[in-house]
Amino acid sequence: MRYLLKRLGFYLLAAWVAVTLNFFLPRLMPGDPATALFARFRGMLGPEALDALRETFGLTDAPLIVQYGTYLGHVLKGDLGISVAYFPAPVLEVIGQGLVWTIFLAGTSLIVSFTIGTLLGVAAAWWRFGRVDTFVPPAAALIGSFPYFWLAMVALYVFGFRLGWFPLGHAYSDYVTPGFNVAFIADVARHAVLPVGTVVIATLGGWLLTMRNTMVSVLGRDYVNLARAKGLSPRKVAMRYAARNALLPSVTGFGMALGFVLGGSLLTEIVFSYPGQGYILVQAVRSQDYPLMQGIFLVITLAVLGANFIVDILSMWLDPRIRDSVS
Amino acid sequence: MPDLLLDIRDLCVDYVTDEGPVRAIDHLDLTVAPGEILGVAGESGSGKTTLAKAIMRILPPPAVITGGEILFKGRDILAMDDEELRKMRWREISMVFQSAMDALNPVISVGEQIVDTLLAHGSGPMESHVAPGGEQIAGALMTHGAGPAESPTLPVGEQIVDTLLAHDAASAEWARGRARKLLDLVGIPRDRLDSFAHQLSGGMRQRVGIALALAMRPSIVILDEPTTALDVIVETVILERIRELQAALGFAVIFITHDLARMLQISDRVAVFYAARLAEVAPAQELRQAPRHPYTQGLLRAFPSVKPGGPEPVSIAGQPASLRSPPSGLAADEVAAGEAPAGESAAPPSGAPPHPADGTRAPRARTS
Repeated sequence: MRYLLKRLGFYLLAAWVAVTLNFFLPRLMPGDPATALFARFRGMLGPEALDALRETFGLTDAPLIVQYGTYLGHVLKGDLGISVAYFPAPVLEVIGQGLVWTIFLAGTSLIVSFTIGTLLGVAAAWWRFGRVDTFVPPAAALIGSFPYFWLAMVALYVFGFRLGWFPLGHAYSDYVTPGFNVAFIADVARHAVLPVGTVVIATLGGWLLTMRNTMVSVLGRDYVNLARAKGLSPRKVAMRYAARNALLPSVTGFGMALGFVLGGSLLTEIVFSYPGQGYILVQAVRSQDYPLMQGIFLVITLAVLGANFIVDILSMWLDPRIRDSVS
Repeated sequence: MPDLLLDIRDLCVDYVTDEGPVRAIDHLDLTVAPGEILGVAGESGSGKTTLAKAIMRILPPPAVITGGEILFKGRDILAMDDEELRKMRWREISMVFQSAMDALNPVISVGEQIVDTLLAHGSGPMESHVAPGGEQIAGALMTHGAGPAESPTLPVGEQIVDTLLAHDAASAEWARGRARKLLDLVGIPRDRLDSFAHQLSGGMRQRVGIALALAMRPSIVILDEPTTALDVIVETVILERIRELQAALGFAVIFITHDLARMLQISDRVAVFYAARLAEVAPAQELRQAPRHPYTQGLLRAFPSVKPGGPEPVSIAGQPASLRSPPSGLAADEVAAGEAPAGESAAPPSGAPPHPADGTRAPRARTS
């Protein structure tokens, strides 16, 4: 428990550093968001409007330290400023919308890919040199080595454009009403098939190979031999004695991947025009939307830190050796 | 043959490598009678552990059993299907692994590892007898007795048997209770049931291994160098415990070690392995007094005497024989240690170590 608190303290410190960097970086860059926004309206705003905008973005002439204090206060309140690209929507609101789709899309892909890949890895290692082991890992490695955007575009072209099985983009059709109804859910699922499918196919191989290789070495350990010698059923030996132990490195990888989920799968969302975090980030960069970029970076950082913390807890739960070495 | 528990006939095990098969066990014949302690000695790489794993049929992939049969109570283990094999394992033949460090799963508590074994096999023979306090058995068996007082009215052996016969019906609760008693049996505090391997000392881990091996009251327990990783005091305590349990429960033991002296102390019969074959099988007494095979003589000579003024230990020169290019001739008439073969044109000059030019230790190829 003390260990977890210590870790938590570390993550809070890291979060503070991230927030601080987030404050200073844009101020070190030339140009400021207010000027950028001002330019977008091409002289339709007066100079006093520019000052008002600067005020909104916290770009006052006050000393840096005061600005920093105001900024911290705002961040703590969840006030990340106003988006330029989606003016006048607050950044938090824009991110919130993207986040929902990103969590759905990338989260589903990650869980599906991890589960299938890991199970295939177990099968490949257990029936070593068997059919799964002979064909699946090379195939997965081959597909995984294609550039992802190419894979996604081919899938989109073949299944979306040529065959017309799946929609070409967006998270749901215009004609369904968002809400908890069958039509909407079915539509969202249909829209998700291609993005999720391509991500799963592209990332499956990594999970598979990690699991397979760890599992192969675990299968050589004496405790697996002992489990077999004890007359346990093969299923029990494979899952409880071998796979359980071989899972540990994969869990770490899963946690890392989980952190990057919230960053959005940039390429996926661009190819499939999916309104997630990655898509919004690109919009933000295009329109020099500093507050939005800052907000997204902050969310990504916090997500990675949070995911790491979850991995800490998870591996303590899975591995008693870690539990003891830290308490 | 009803009087034989295990009858290994003409067993061959090969390791398949890129350069062709390497024979790890070469036409081995060996028997185990009920209740006897058979010692299997030999140096590293001579095929001892391979033999143990072959009997359990848990040889890792590159190893293949290429011939012979292993008859257990007249049934060939090598011909059993998976389910027959699963039922035979542990119920009839169990094993204590060489490495106390690696034989227990690090992420599953020791108790669970005993419990799942018990549950995998269901129940033992029906018996409604309830054993008296398990702690008493532990106390009685602890050589450095810190345990509570032993029952004055029951002989130790009976208490052990009672413990094992105590319950029936394969429920998790029953299994946990029995696991606790098994820990008592090997002198580990009951509250260690929920411990993990890394929380136990090497000696304790090996005791858990022994408790586990006794869980199903098998008729044969294979001990594969059970004390290699332990210091001599713990080793002595554990071997004592094994002997007491063996005397009480009457199982046969296949005791594998490279420590010939230790083996001679506790074994009824001893088989000496040399380069994938049996060099000599003889009753322990006989072997100690009159070893026939030169390699056995060499092994015996390699151990220091405890008596003052005893002969200095003489080590066997050269490297252990390679199984990749095994010495071609191999039998009791071959020279193993100490003497250069006479009347051979290739004989080394006297005083030179008696091994061939490739550095392989002894039995020399016959001149052809």
